[in-house]
Amino acid sequence: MNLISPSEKDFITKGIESDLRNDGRTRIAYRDFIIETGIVSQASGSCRLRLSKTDVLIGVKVEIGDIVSNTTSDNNNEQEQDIVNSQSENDKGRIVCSVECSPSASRDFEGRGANDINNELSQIMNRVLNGPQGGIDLKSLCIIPGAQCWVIYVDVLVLDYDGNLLDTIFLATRAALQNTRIPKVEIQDIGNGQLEFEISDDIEDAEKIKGWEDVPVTVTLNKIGQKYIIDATAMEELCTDTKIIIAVNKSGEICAMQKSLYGSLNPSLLTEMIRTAKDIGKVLIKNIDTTLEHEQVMASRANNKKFGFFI
Amino acid sequence: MDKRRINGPEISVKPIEKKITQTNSNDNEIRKNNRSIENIRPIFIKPNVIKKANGSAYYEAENIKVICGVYGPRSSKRSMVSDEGNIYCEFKFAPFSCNKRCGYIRNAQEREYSLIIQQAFLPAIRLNLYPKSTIDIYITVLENDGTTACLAAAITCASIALTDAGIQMYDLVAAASATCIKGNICLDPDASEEENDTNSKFMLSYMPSLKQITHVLCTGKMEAEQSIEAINTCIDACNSIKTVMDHCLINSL
Amino acid sequence: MEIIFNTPTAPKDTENVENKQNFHIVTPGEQITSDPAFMRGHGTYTQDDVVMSSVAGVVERVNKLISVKPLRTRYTAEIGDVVVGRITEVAQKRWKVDINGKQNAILLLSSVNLPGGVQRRKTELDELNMKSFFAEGDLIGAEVQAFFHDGASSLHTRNLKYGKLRNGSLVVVPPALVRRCKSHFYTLPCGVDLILGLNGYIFVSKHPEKKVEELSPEELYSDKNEEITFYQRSTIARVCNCIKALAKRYMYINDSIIIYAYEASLPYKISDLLHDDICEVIVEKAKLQIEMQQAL
Repeated sequence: MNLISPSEKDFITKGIESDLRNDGRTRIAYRDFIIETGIVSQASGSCRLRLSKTDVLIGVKVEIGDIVSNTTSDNNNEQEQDIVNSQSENDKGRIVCSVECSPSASRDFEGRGANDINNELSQIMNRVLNGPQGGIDLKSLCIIPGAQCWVIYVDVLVLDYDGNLLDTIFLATRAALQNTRIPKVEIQDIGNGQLEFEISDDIEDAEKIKGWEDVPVTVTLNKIGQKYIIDATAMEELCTDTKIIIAVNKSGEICAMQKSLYGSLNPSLLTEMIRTAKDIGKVLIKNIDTTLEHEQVMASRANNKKFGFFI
Repeated sequence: MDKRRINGPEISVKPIEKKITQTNSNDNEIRKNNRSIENIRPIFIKPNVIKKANGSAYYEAENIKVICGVYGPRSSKRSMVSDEGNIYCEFKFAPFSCNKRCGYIRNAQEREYSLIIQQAFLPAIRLNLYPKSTIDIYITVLENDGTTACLAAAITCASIALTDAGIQMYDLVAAASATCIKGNICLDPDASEEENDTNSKFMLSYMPSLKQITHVLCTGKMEAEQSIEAINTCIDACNSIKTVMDHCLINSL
Repeated sequence: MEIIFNTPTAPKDTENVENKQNFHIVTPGEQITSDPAFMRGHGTYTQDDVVMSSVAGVVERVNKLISVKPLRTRYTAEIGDVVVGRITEVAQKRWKVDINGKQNAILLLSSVNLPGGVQRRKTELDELNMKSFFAEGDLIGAEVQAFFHDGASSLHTRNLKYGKLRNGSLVVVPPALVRRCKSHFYTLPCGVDLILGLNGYIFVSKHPEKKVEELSPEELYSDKNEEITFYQRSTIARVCNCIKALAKRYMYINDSIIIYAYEASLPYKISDLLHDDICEVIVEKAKLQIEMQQAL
């Protein structure tokens, strides 16, 4: 339900001014995450990330695709077409992201309402991940220059919603990409300058994606009143008038920035938000990397079980 | 299948153009055509070009041409009982405007830009004076020379069109774009500067009198301090664009 | 600044073996009894004189009435229930209220106290005037008065205890955890007011400075909150977190368990109450105290 009463809004706003939110957190505090990778066997990489009730499942599939350049066609997959159009060099692979908000997550995601949200989220993901700021080494995805490349499809499924969707999506994407393995490819020259390649079936031979450590994560800052908060719950999001999304990578560089919703803000506040987001982004990346490492160590032990959706 | 038009062949290949590699005679030159890093292309704005619309404007800056029509406030199709008016924005590249032909149907990027322009104007228009009405903004880019610069041009052009329509606003919204080339923040990038993937692109829309940023959009890697510098540079650019806007509005009256 | 990433851990086996024997749990289609003397209540149906269950839950027997209560269901209203609802729509001479039930409830204009005890206005200004009392999104406390023929409940706020809620925040818990008691309005010793809606909406607010009887008609329907100090705000936040912890562990919610949980939570920071392990500790302590109370 996206309704809130004026007195609740006032209560939340005054609380944020005194640095005490409805659930006792300070303005800059995240709720606890629960993360698990490698739960979908059919995908090349997967991750499920829960932040309180927000639940996001990412599946990454790598497929062989053509390196296409300079063709226009009535392609059904318009998102892929947009990315292809912007790729002018012919030795790069590509990443295609798509977000789907399941109608079971919220009444707003039913029917046509979901289209706008899905489109907005997919576009933000594509803006951040496609290109050198996305971290992934696209040149390493090329198999035969000018002909074949690896295409990484990142599909996000939003299962449940309680605020702060974008941060969860990007953190889970980072984990899923870390978890992804690309099969090894052997290229053979069969004469006449023609190249053929063979994909190794051996799971052990698969490699990690080059550059996954540089994949950025987003920090969403919600401006309520004259202060801003991190990790808003659904109720707090209803009181927000301006939302700033800042993508930060491991080295603290800003990879993307976008404003959303209907308000406006002071340049000085924006400057402060950028500085805060940079610090928070670095902590997020450090903590999630530590947990992922720990998970890998546990996975190598014999009695480790994956919980998937059992918990 | 699009039956209303006579379509060309489904797959068409663009003729191969020879890329003119301009070797910079002067190595210290960061930008082409002797443009300084703070140089904005000269702007020409003319309001009231579409007679049928309630308000309209035409914006031209060297190779960027944008036209905007505003209808409203008129009663909304969905008669939602709301205290405040609604803004609906449609942004479209004309098929012949870009290097590669764009289709007739809006693609995902154009739909996203429509949303961005709508969000840039929400804080500026006095919507509480127009309950149950909607303000429609239709923007067409006739010639594209740098997508981020086009977006900034579209926002500026739409501001003039809204003023031409007599819609009450708290302040004019000016927008500026910038890119970061070799560590320098260069204003108003054109297509060749934008094509280079390693350059990050930055767009900011700003209300100069109220000193409020209404939208910010940044793609590409940059240091935090660089982005703050970009914000300040764009704000200065917006202040100068505002003087151009004021000048053209007063001239037209 | 701490950001915690947990990996999922196996839940501990909660042993309630002794309790299991007290409950008769059935699944849909299971036969409960074939004695024709029993009357059938909610959650049951007959097939050839045999009473079968139509939901998965616990069998409840009150004298001759058999019903099956499912674990998680939408709230079913009974006449006299105290509920907390949110206005979703303002319609002709009535408001539609969301009470987490199967249908939206209706609050008729004739069921609210108009300021100054003025007779109901029946002019065309009704719609606009209605917004000045309750607008979309407002939270109200109300009582179920009657049912319409289609099953929607009709609410009334004709008591000074009911009306627009302010100075606090809402906590949503499964409706089955709130049981019918003598009163649903409590003032906790820590200084917060509590309204336990039977529909699972619980409103925690600051104890008002002015008594309800002293409020002027404009203030009754105002949206303005009173001044809330930092200490009062933190108490409200703590109580909210305690209620959420109790709901996570499926404990019945009433004022005494909330007080025990609050006392058990005092050694911890309010934001720490969001962590699962601390929740468990607090709920266990509160459970122990309740059991001790019951043993006395």
